[in-house]
Parts: sequence; structure tokens; C-alpha cells
Amino acid sequence: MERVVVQDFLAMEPLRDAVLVGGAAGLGAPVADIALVEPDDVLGAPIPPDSGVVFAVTSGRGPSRRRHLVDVLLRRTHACRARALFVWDGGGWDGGGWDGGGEMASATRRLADRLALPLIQVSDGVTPLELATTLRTATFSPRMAQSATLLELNRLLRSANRSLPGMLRAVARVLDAEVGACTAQGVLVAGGPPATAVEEIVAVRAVTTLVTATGAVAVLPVLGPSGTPTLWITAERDRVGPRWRETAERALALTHGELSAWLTRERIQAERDARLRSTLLTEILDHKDALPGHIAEQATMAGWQLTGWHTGIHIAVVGAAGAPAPPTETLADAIVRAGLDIGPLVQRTDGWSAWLTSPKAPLPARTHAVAQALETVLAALGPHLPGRALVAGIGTPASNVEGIATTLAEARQAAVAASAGTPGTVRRVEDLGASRLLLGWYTSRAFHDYARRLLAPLLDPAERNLFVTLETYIDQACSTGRTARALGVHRNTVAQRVARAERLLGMPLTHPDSRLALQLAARVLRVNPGEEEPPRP
Amino acid sequence: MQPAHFAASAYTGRVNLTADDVADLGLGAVLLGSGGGGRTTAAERLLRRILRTRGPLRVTAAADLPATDSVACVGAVGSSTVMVERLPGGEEFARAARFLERHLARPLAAVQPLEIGGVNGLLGVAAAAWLDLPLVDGDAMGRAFPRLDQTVLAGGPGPAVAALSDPTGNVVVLECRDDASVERVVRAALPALGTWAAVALHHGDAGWYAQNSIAGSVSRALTLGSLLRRAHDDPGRREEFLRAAGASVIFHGRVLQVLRDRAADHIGGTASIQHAAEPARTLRLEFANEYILALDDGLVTARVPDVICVLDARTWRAVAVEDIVAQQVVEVLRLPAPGEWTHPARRRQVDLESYGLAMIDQEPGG
Repeated sequence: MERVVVQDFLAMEPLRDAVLVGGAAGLGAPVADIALVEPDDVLGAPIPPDSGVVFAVTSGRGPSRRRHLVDVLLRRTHACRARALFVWDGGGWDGGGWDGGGEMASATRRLADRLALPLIQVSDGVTPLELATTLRTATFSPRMAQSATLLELNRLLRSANRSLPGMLRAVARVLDAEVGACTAQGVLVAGGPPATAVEEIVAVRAVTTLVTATGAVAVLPVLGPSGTPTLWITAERDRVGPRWRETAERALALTHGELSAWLTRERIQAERDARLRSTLLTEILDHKDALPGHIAEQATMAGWQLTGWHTGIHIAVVGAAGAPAPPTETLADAIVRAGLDIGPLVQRTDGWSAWLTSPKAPLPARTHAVAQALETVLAALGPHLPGRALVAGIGTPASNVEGIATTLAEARQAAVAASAGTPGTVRRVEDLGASRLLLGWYTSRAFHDYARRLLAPLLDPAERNLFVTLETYIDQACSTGRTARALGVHRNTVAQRVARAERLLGMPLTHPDSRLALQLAARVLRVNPGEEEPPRP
Repeated sequence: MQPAHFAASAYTGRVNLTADDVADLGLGAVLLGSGGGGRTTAAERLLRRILRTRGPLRVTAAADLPATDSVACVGAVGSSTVMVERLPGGEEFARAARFLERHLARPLAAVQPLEIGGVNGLLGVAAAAWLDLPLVDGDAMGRAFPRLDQTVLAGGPGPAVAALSDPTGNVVVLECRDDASVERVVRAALPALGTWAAVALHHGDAGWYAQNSIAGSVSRALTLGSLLRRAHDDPGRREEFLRAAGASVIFHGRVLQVLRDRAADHIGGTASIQHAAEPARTLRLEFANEYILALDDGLVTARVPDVICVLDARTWRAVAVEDIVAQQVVEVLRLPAPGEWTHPARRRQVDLESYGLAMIDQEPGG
């Protein structure tokens, strides 16, 4: 183990409230010994080279004005090639108070700066002898000081009640640091927010210390049940030396087992809760108004309100099936932070359901505000979900238990409609208008299969132009001219493509039933594209 | 090489002192006050008026008086700040001297200023004029000190006797075991006397004064005052002043910070001064009633009983301890202590500890 440097002393417990008066340029100097100097022996006390000098300026008898001795000793300390001067000026003599604590003269600070000799003022919480002993131990047996810290941490962890804040408090206490825990998305889970940029922290893959402008931050990535880093623990502190950094890394490594176990427990608990909520929701949707008493009781304990006016929300995941969906907690957390007071999120086959409850029927402006808030949430989460997109639908407010089923069904329909739009779209069922009539069709698996069969000849990627032209032609009320303008091609091209499409499909577009069938089929395929790339105009 | 202490013979003894000398005497007294000793303006006016009224004052060396003549020191003790409000009239000094005579049953043949530094340098001279007695060219301190027992005449033969009188006519005559007791009792009596009083003490024969007193102090103050006055207007003459005073400029720079002690019963503090030519260099100047210690980057360059003067760098006017503030550009001068103070036994009377400062066993520049 290499030598202790002056900076390391500043990170120690007895120097917690110490003031670095001057001479910061010398903080990196290694210290090999500690010398204690009394006020009556400033010019005579032995000062070994490379030592740190502890000067108990207010101890012993004699005149009360002694601050000038610090200047004299600074000069002598420098001449003896010692590395730091610790001035202890806690309450000393009787009836004095002239010199104790308080501001050091500018001359003293400037002399320390000029000599690049760290001058550290220690006023409270320790006697000069304790100070000298602690510094001596740190100088001669740095391993011992470190072991003491780690043993203390071990003791505190055992009484931390296995809670994350408890464990973080233990780390914060022994390292005297700001400690926090954040997720890969940069969401703070416990403790205080780190001053270091979150991107830098979550990029860490193994326990390490990053040196910052003012100090250092030790980072521990905690592996989750899946074996990838899930949680990042940070311990941040100002003005620390290499010794603290090493101790901090060891201390964090010591907590990894406990933290990993905590993560696993949390995950199991979350899974259990999610299952309970799904079951409860199924019961609520099945029983509607005739809800058995024990189910109502469990729902209340899960945090749901069953009476009053409910506005259903359904958040759906769209996109590639293989990509991971966001964890329920992340989503719930983002929604709560957006100011939406929703009940528990229930995971369903295609996303999550939840509802907002109010004692009176909410005004349309209220659901509009909810939609806007949800848009913000989805926009914020978007960048963290590669290959996936979130959309949401909002149902119309409905009252009491039977209303929950209604509004949730509507919210789900609106979400389906929203999935036809860009990622992050939020739609209210009120705004869907006449297209609501068709929502049932869109979600019907049977019709989806039929639509694929009907349009199969045009689904070959080579025939993409034909599909787009046909869809636009029907949407433009079978006007060749308007279709040509919409697609930016010549009207003759439109006419030729429509004729070719009719041939391939074997259906004449002159028949109204054919037109309706083809239009619905094209819509369904746009909303539920299935395995292929969705053909978009 | 500067002399360790000044020799009285360097200054020509004066025979007469007139109203025209008062301005120079005032400047010299302020200089020897080492930043303390009180403001002299009112005392200068008093002295000028009495000298105009009664004509020139005879000044004599103690050695030139018959050896058995009785001599005593006269001055003021107490708050010089209050003296500016509660002005001296002159009678209190005469009254104190007369009651001392009466107590000792011996008439005084001459009086000497108690303290040449500060306001007492003028009041001691004025006392001789008020008493219509010759003035002994000397004093008991050679500069200014805050306490009555910080004199070279303390510990003289016989009991320590002192007579005090305040401007309203109260008189106290003390006969104490020693001068330290006089100091203690006088401090206790001062609040009742209105915080300052005239004092006459240290009675003795002229022969004893010639041997023990600091000779030539009045002439020294006059000479230095006159040279300093000329140096005010003509910076070219500053060198001449320094040579004559045996003084050296130990620092030149800008005051960065003045930390003052906030205790009610004494004044004191620390000034930090940044060197004009070497910005990283700093002088730490400790003061109590006077400037008492100069540490140049932690090295002692002047300390009591050296006279430490702070002069405005442009005008060369003295800056008192009450007046030093941040941003002033100043020169700090060291005038060597009177030789009488270099004896180890005397030294203890006036070292840093007598001002409540921890000692440093280091000679200036050593």
C-alpha cells in the first residue's frame, strides 16, 4: 500500500468539519510521520521531514493571543520539509476566547499558499491528542484504518433491515459521502441525486471510482436476477485522496451481495403483486356490479378505488415482438412523476391498464389534460425503448364497478386506434368519432385473417405500389384524378394500376361491396400489420 | 547596518522650547507612539497656548541639574479617547504634582514627561509650563506603552508613590508596595475619576534620573518630528529621516485585511499587508494599544519594544492602530528600541506577553 497523502487526511472522520485554510497545492504530498507541537515550543519542537505537524494552538497556559505562532510555525514546518500543518484551536484556556475558532488572518492563508503547505484548521469534535493519534494510525497503518471502516460497514449492514435506504445510509455513514441509487434510465431509486452526470455513471460496468472536479464518485453496478447491471450505487464526496477512493471501492464491493439479494427480492415481490393485480382485475371485469365482498376488500388493499367516476387508461406496446418491454415499475414511476394519480398498473397481454378515479364525473377538459400528461410520459420513455413504441388510449368516464369494465374496454379500443399513428400517440375514445364503429372489426382476429387472404396478391413487397394505389384510390372516393394528385403520378398510371389490382384480386371495384370489403381489409392490415413490414402510403 | 538602539547623544539637547516647536514635537510624539498613545491635536493646542502666554520653556538634561534636586514624571493615565471629549485644563497636572510634593514634603525642582510617545509627550511638556518648572529632556518609556509600570524608572528606591487628579478637582495619593501595585490600584480608581486623570510619580533625585531615565527624549521627538515634517512634502528627504532615526523600512504594501478583536475592555487585532513589489509576500502586523509585532512571511522583523510605525506611503503621515483599514497603501518602519529596554530584566516588562501575546524567542531578522 502506498503512502498516505495529505488529501487522505481530509477525508477522515475527525477532520469532517476541518477547514482547509490555504496551501491546497500541497495536498498531494505523501506523509511519513506525525509531529505534535505545543505553543510554548514552536521554535524548538522536533519536526521530522515529510511529517504532518499537529499544532494545538490553544492548549496549555499562557497568553491568549497566539494566532501569530501559526505563521511562525508555517515557516518552520516548510523549512523542515514537513508536508502539512494541522492547527487545532478548539476551546482551550479559561476566560480566553480571543483566538479560539474563527477566521484566520489573510496573512496566514497567503503564507500557506505561498509555501504550498496545506494549513488545516480543526476546531471541534476532537482533542489534539485524538487528532494526532488518528493521523498517526492513518499514516503508519493505513490498512488498519481501512479495515476499521469496512468492519463498521459490515456491522451497520447487518442492522440495516435489508432495506435499500438502510443499506445506503450505512455506506453514507462509513464513507461520509452522498450516496444514491439509480436505474439504467437514470431514475433515482433511493438516496440523493449524484452531482456527476447519470450517463457517466450508468456506463460503469464494474466497481470503480471516477475522479470529479471537486472530489470523487465511487460507482457500483449491481447485477440483477438476469445477470446484467440493473442498479447503480454512487458514493460521492468532495476533497478526497486515493486512500478514500480505495476504501470506497472496497466498501461498495462489500455491499454488492446484500444489494443483489435485495434486487432479487424486489423482483419476486413485484411479480407476485402483478399476478395478484391481474387476477383481481379479471374478477372485477367479470363480476361488474355484483362484486363479492372479499374481492372488493382485496382491491382496496391493492390501492384501487371502486366507487366514484373512473377514467380508463390503456397503454399498449407496439413493434417488434422480440424487444424487451419496459419494466412496469419504470412506467408507473414515470406516470406518477407526470402528476397523474393513477391506481396500480395491471399488466395485460398487450400492455397495461389503469384508471383514474374522481368523486364527480370529470369534465372533458380533465381527460384532455390527462391525455397531454400521458403524451409527455410516453415521449420521455420513447428513447429508452429500442425497437418498441408505446401508445395509449383513454376511455370515457364511467361510474362505479361496472363502469371500470366499460371505460377500460374503451381505453383499449382507443389504444388500438392510437397504434395506427406515430409512436407515443395518445387518443381519447371521445375523439374517435364514427371510426369507433369499426374498432371491433380492427381488433377481430378472424377478420384480420380474412383481410390477409383477401389482399394476399398485393402483399408481396414487389406489389407495394399496387397496394398503396388501391388504398388511396378507395380513400379518395374512386377518383383517378385525386388519387394521381395524392400520389404524385399521372392519372393514366393510376388507372393502369387499378386495373392490374382488379385483375390480381379477381374483384371488380365497380361493385360497392367489393370496395367496402377491400377498404376495411386495408385498414385492418394497417392497424395490425402482422409479421411483415406495414405497407404505409 | 542599523543600530540596535538609539543613542541620546545623537540628538542636540535643547535649551528652550517655544510655541513654534509644538508642531514638530507633536509629529515626533505620534511617531514614537508606535501607532498608539492617543491623538495629539488638542494637547498641541494646549501646549501652544501656554507657551505663548508664558514664553519659552527651559529644557535641561537631568545631569545638568544639581544631583540632589527632586524630580518627578508627569503625564496622563487612562483613556485617551475620552480625553478628546473631556479635555484637560492644565490645573489637574499641576494639582497632581503639588500633592505629590506635599505628600513627600519635598518641593520639585523640575519635571519630566512620563511617556514621550503620543499625547503624553505633549502633556508632560505642558505640565512643566503649568508648574513653572524646568523640563527634564528625557522620559520614562522612550516611546508609548499602555501601563504605568512599563517604565525604566519602575522599581526605583523607596515606596512607590503616585498622585492623581481628575479635571473636576478630585485628588488621590497612593503609596504602594511597588509600581505593579500602583498600576493595579490606578486602573481600579480610573472609572471613578472619569476614565482619565493626570498623574505624577517616580519621584527621585536628579542624579538618579540622570542615571536611570531615558535621556534626550524631548530633543529626539523634536528632531524626528522636524525631519518627518520635511519628508511629508519632499519624498527626497525621507532617506535623511531614516538615517537620523536609525530606522528602516521593513515593508511597503497594501493593507488586505484588518481583523479587530471585539472584546470591550481592550483594543487589538491583526492586519495583513500585501507587499507592493512581491505580491505573494505578506506582512502580519499584530497590534494592541500599539503596533507590537511584525511577521514578514512568518519571520519576525520587528517586535515590541521596537517602535513600529505605519506611515501612509504617499504622505508619510502616521497611521494609528485605530485608523488602519483595508486598501491603505502603507510603509512599515522599525525604529530600534531605546537601549534602556535591552536589559533582560527590563525586557520582560514590555515583551509580547505583557500585551497578552504568546512569546516568540526570535530576534528581529534572525
